Amino acid sequence: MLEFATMEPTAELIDQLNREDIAQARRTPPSLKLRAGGDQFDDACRWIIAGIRRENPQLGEAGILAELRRRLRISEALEDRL
Amino acid sequence: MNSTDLVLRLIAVLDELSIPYILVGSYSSNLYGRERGTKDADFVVVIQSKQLSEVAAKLGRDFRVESQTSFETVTMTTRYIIDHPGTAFKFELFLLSDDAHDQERFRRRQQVDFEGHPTWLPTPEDVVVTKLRWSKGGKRSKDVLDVAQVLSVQFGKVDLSYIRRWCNAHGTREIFEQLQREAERLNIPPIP
Repeated sequence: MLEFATMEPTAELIDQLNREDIAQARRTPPSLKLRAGGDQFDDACRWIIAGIRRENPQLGEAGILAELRRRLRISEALEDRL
Repeated sequence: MNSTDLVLRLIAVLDELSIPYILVGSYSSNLYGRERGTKDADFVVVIQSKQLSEVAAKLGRDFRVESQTSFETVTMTTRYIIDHPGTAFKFELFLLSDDAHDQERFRRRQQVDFEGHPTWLPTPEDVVVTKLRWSKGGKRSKDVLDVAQVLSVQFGKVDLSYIRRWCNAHGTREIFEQLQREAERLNIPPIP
């Protein structure tokens, strides 16, 4: 029977990944960095909306938006507690 | 209309009405650190209450200014919320307070190109000072992570004595030194 070893992230690997992210952030033009926050939020909303639509096929656009806002309020409340 | 379009639209309106502002919050930490998604854009503005209706009128019917104002708890300044009902995105407008650091942060603001539009932002030092102050002694993990990333990305470029002076005044020096040590440990040579 085959046995597979799992790769545990080591402190060195985590540091290396962080250094790569820092280097990437330094290379990114300011304009792209400024728009990234909104773009990531828009992408996240698209995925959440797809999930809401699948779970609630009876909901119209207004209902979907209301449910999206409700979920974002929950996430905001959780963020404030963490 | 995406979130970036909404932010650029408000900036254009503020410029048109000659309302001084800075784009703060996660937009500013994204610029100097590493990017993360954000559901709102925070502005500090110098605005008379009657100008708020002018802002609303210029923005048009796609936006809704919430009638109830609230207060931000660190400097106790007034906060207005402008909602975009067609999406889940919103703006928070904080009046420039009399707080000493708020005043200095505003004086030190600098212009950065945002999609071809010169946009006023705080300096990286002031992003660090403000976010540490808002982090409730390091309890708000989101703010602490933002600061850690700004310090790592900007390592070797920020004025540490300026940051330390304000952190001493705000009682956030200990958490700052901890994050700065981590940035130093991860240090890679900065781009000149």
